[in-house]
Amino acid sequence: MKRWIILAAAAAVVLMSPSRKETDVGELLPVELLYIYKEESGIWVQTDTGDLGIGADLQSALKDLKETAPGKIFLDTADYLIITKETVDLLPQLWGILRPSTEVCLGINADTQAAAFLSAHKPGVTLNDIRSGGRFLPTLIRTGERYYLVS
Amino acid sequence: MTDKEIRGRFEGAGDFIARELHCGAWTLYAYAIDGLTSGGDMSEYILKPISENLTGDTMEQLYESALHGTVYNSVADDCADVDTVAMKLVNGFCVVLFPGAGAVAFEIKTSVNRGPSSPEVENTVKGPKDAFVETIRINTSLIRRHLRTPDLRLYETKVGKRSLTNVTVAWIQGITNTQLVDRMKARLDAIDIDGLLSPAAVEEYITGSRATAFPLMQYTERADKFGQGLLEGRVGLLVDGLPLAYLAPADLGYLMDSPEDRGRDYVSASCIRVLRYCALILSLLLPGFYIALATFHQEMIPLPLLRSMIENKAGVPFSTTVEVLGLLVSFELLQESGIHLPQAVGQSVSTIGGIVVGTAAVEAGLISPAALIVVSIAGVCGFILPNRDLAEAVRVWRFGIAVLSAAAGLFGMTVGFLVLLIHLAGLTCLEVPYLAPFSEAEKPGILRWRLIFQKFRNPRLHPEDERNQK
Repeated sequence: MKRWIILAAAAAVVLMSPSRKETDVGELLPVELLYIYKEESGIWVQTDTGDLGIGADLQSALKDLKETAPGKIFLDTADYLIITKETVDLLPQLWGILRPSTEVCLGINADTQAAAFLSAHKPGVTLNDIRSGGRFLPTLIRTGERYYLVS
Repeated sequence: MTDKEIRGRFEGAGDFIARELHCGAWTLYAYAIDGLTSGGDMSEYILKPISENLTGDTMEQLYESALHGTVYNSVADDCADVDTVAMKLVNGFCVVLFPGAGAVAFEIKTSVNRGPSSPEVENTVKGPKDAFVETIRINTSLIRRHLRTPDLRLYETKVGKRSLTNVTVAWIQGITNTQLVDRMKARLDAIDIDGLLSPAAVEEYITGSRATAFPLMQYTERADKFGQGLLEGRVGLLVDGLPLAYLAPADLGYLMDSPEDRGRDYVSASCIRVLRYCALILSLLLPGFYIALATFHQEMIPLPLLRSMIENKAGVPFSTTVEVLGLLVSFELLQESGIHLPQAVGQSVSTIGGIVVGTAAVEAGLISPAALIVVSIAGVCGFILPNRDLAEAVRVWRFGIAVLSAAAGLFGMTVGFLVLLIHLAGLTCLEVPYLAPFSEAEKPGILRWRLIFQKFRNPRLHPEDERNQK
């Protein structure tokens, strides 16, 4: 009897699981680099997976990105975030969306092909550092096919 | 007790032999079971002495003369009633009936037995190669050869109303706690079944048929391991017809011990034991952990690994849960088919199933390599466990934990693991807790300590002599 009570309790606990809705790993589009910049049409969010989201604000751009991607955009794996001078004010909105350890840099003429470069030359400033305050963002500059990281 | 009564007891038995003997003016009757007794020994050591040497004026004189030496046989027991006669006959005795005076049973068991051979399951590189056989007397002689102490006690009884199986309880007087022996005897006496022919029957009835997949008795086919268990203060059980012996109590620590541990130095043995416990955890949790990560907690997977998994998953038509559970079922089917086929064919099936079909399934895009690797690692880790019963219990729980992980991710896996721990914590064998080696009061039970420092026997067994060396 005691055994059945334990099993029933375990089953009930599992069924009332606080876990998120399941998503199989095969459906994911894991993002390594996120590039957020501003154009005349609004906020543009571009990923290294080649997907793009456009919206009047950051939330609608992210929503557009998720809705138009050919899979489930997975931002939890984003290691690098490139923002521009125009979008640097959006950083506080990303604290709950990206991991605190996501490294951030300011992009000048940047693009989403910089992931390999950034993995070799770490920006060294994370979202968490910015949230704590007092850190200057390094700048990623692209000239032609070459990148430079200026601290 | 008459000839008619004895014949009536075995009426319809084709292997029952009854013979009328004339000894002077007297008529005697000899009975035996063909196959259990040796015909040559019966002629030479019973019929010949009776016809040549046995003389007397009365049937009582013949009976006394036969019982006390005229018929030369190492064992001559008098039989009080028909039931005793029947019991002797089915145990390889020849019974001679002296009508009106009594019956005498002479031992002439056939020598057709399988001799001790090397163990098939518990192989070791170093160490003795003699394993138990189906004949209980050969097994007790093997134990005697390993333990020459006259304090070795062998209590023999019969279990099973129809099978009348010979069962022997073994212990060492002065070491083993008598309460453990009494409990074992009491459980044997309480068994009321037709036959005790299979290992499962022994285990379920002795342990009280607890609702668990985990073994509550430790079996071994090695006489040296059995002897070592007795020296530790445990109780042994031998069952006629089974080429193995049981040791009780059994806890998780004992079940994770391998005879090889005492065959190598303590450093290597300790490292191997740690590895073995890691294998236990991996075998139990790895499929569930993989399902949980791949289905619910992808953020915990390092990006390069996640990318690799996603690339390999491309084109696979099944979800990770279906893949892993399907592979677990396939693994069990392969294992089952390997067991039921002849050894040579079984190996071929395992090879074809494991390598050829697995590789083909990956190449065909039916399953992802990661899922195949995870299930393979879990399966191989299960084979590392030294006790097959424990490995099978882990297989059952592994499946359950994988299902819980598929339902609720790491949360479900944790719930499953906690339920397992609660279940194990509630198990006891002869009043010894199953998880006793890992209780706070104990020295860590995972490592194999230096033998010169192991001065005391296992305190959980409450041995009568606590020290095993000065």
